[in-house]
Amino acid sequence: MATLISEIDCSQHTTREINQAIKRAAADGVPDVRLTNPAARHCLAVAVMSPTRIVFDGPVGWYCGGMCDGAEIVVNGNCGWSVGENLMSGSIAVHGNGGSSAGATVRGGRVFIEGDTGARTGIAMKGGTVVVGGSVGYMSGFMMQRGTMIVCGDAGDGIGDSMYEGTVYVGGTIHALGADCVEAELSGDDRALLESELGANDIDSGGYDWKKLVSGRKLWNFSKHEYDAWRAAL
Amino acid sequence: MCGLCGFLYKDPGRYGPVGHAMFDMLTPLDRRGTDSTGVALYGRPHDDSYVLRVRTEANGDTPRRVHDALAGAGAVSEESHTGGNLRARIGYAGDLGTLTDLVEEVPETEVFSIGRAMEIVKDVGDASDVEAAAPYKSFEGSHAIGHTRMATESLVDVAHSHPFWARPFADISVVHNGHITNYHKLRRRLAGKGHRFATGNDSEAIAVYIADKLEQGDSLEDALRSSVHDLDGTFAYLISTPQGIGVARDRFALKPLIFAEDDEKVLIASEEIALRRVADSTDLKPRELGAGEVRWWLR
Repeated sequence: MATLISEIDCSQHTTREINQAIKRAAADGVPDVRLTNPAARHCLAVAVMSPTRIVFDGPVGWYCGGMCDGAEIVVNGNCGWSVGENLMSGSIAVHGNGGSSAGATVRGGRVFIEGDTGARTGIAMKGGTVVVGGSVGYMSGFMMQRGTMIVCGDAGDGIGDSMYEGTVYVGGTIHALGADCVEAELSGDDRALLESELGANDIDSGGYDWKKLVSGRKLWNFSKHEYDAWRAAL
Repeated sequence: MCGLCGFLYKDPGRYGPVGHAMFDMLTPLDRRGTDSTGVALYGRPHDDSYVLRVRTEANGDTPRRVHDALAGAGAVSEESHTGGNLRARIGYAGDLGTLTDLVEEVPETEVFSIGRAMEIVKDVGDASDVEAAAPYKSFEGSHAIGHTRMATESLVDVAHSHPFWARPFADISVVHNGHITNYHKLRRRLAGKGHRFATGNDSEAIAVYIADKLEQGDSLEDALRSSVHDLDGTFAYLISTPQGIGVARDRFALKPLIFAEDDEKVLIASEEIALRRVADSTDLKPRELGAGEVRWWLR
């Protein structure tokens, strides 16, 4: 019978050993795996395909939770670049700051970062939800294709640049909209969605000046009559 | 890809084990490149003398010839020689370009640094290799910057290792991750003003660029802000002066750089894994530098 592991001290293992232990625990049906001393190590809890709850007590490095499908990951600390990259389903909650490319190419599930994130947050999202409690950096939401990104703080230059579809909500200041990103009217459904999504993280959506950003759809098809728009985008 | 790190005590009277901090921070950054590793360490400044770090032939007559060259320029003290690394202090009041030339007239030598407080130690290999070749872990100082290199252009050798001294400006050095695409234009412009370069590495031009700005009377803040517009390409860099450390990131935020600070110290690194080797407190929350953002910390 396989050993049921519920706690892993990262300082005693290689990254490969940690990830193999997490997957063994998940396969054995261990519902809750706690990891201590992650010390900002990269590529932790990658591609976990079961609904296991994985808690990191401390900061994680780059690519944490990437490609996961169903796991519930909690990071009590910061995370590095590309947290939750290509997440299929499940959730990742980071109780700290994030790096660049947080939630890149997310396809489903939910990524929550309590603090600020860096450039290109939610780049090329293809579904799912990315929620940032603080501010996001340059070119966040670039080439977004589906899904929802909620930013409680400020958005850096180029937010939503060249987005195809999907929706970005910004509660703070927008430094500059990206190419073909436009502001849309906020509906009652939008407010309900914000209240529900942020309420899940104990954030009161009522304290923000929400702006809804969507694609202007001028870049969907090339038109020589809109040369200036294309020149700006490229 | 390269790894950067920096450590600074905020209190102007505080000196501590910055050499050990650099070693600890550089060790996990070896994944970002082990072609070469180096540090610029800032000790207690001496107003009446300079400390030199010189690369020489490991064997032979070169160290004695360097000594003779220095002795002809001033009173030499604290002289030591480990492998190919020579360290000496000299009482000297002249031009540092002239002093550099005097040393480098000895064949097979290269001046790594001259400063009242700054000492650059660098070599090929990782942090442990450099420590073995030229020990720096025990260095006590006010602040330091460090670099692990994965060469994408120019040679893999000691001369092209970081940090780069902004020759002949005392106590100014840079570590850089990225690629300066308008390097040749920038270098020609600086050379036209009389500045000289020891290598063909683009990062060296950043050091001289900032030093030139400071010489013109710009503050470190002004120089950093100007660099974001004057430098093309991708970059995250740390510039270090006797007063502190400045950092800048390019307008596309393509190279990683984070920082964290508390009342006592400032920590800067390419990745948090380096910070956590010297500060495991969860109270210390690193933040990523934004696109085109600059910051500076002066003692």
